[in-house]
Amino acid sequence: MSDAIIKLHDFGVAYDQKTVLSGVNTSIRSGRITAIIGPSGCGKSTMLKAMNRMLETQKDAAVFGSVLLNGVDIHTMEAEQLRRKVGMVFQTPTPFPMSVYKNMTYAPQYYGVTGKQELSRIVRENLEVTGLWEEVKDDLNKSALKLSGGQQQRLCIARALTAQPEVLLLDEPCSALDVKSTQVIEELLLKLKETYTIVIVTHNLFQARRIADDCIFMLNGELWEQNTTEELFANPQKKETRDYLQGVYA
Amino acid sequence: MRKTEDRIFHALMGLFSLITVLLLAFLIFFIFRESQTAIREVGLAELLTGDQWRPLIYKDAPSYGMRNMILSTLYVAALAVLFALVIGVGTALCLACAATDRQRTLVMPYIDLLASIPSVIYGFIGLYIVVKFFEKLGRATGESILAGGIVLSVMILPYMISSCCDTMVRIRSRYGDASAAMGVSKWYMAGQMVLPASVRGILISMALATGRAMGETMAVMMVMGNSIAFPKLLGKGETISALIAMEMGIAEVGSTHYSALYTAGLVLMVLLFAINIVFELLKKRLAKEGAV
Ligand SMILES: Nc1ncnc2c1ncn2[C@@H]1O[C@H](COP(=O)(O)OP(=O)(O)OP(=O)(O)O)[C@@H](O)[C@H]1O
Ligand SMILES: [Mg+2]
Repeated sequence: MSDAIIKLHDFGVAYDQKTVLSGVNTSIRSGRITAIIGPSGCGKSTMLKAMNRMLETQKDAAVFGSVLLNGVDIHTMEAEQLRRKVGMVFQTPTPFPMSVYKNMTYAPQYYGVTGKQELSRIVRENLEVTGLWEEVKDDLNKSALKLSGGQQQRLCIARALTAQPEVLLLDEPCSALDVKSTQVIEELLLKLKETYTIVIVTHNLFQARRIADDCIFMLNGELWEQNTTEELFANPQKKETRDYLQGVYA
Repeated sequence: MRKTEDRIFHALMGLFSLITVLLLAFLIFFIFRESQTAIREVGLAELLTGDQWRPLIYKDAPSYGMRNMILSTLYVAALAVLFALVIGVGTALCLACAATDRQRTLVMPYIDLLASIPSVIYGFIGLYIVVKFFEKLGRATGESILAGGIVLSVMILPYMISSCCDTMVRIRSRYGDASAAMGVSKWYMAGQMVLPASVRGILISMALATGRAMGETMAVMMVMGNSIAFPKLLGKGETISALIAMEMGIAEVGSTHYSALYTAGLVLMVLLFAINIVFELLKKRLAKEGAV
């Protein structure tokens, strides 16, 4: 069994004094895909954003308990360092308004990579991993905003990889995409888990089943049940979990 | 009835657009007609390139050359836009990327307030601060093109800041989280993403600011010394708008002098059109390169 890379300990979040997440204790295992599922508003995005401290950009959010990355409390780390190790892809594709190439060199240049060859290599390798290279290699200078939605989302994943993270957080990355693009991204994630630990929030239970190794079911701001995906779907321990899984199947 | 409302709305819109266009056409036609006498009697080339503006007498006849005024106008406006660009874009970047929402909403109203101060007040302050300052430095007279440029830049600054800031805040709120999630600092984001992505917006505000700078009369008139000499940074100068404002009252209606002032107005308008076209082309060019 692989080790925990992220651990949440008595973790909770309140927005403006209103508790939306409480008493969360869990481990994310490294080298696997963990899916977070649960009804809308149960706190999935909130939990995900806590893992790279993106909650801090919301000024009324207060955080309790601790989050450990490789055993180190993330609140003792520099936010920049943390986010470099824990990358994030958002629900709506957010390519920066610049060329594909510049999107890909944005972070490496900040981290001090300057050589043109080295930069080109980073651009190429990460675009290849996401399968975008063949589609854009002749036109790296075109605006990233002109890519299709699916291409944009793959670009965002490739861009997150340029920071060489250990963990990749994805918040419903396929909800704005069609079936074909979704499939491409799922295959991509399965390929990526060899190198990265992946945590994905999804509303699509089929998707969770297809790609996730572990599954976390959340309800009303609490971690309701967690298990391997197989176990959780085949053998839910709690009534609410069963209801949720069945309700969607029905 | 949705349909009828729509039709009425469209008809009204059409009517108002038509009125606006007609008004503009009439304005151009009127200025053009009034300037005919001077163009016929003095000649367009002499009007544009002559360096002597002597409506009373020069050698043995009046002379109407407005070259130096044209150059002064461009000089002051360029200085002002340059100063305002550097300071305005920098301020806007700080406000949009570094300041908190609270700080920004606190500061913005005061910046907007600056825009509503009448220009004569700016002229006043310019005279007592900028011009005096140059005189303290030991110049015989502080009235100069540079003084005009400084005063004018302060006048267009609020506009530059608030319009650039709008653009930048929009960009930051759209991409700021994605950028922060990559573990880069906000200053890096400001310089590498927000600024390049705002170029179009900055160009638009520059075009509008240039228009304002070239048309502004009162404040520059008060601090520039109004001499028809060839414009030098620290020398006196007179803009086209100042020329018109000062002489229109004393020119005899229908005279060559009167008509020459209309020609000056025509030149100002043509310059503004030309500059707007240049900015428009720049914008198109940027769009083609796919910057944003
Ligand atoms: N910035 C905020 N300020 C106040 N409350 C918030 C804020 N963001 C989220 N919430 C509240 O926190 C709770 C959890 O939100 P969260 O976005 O984590 O839900 P979610 O599980 O991701 O839902 P969905 O599946 O719809 O994306 C919700 O009740 C929501 O209303
Ligand atoms: Mg969510």
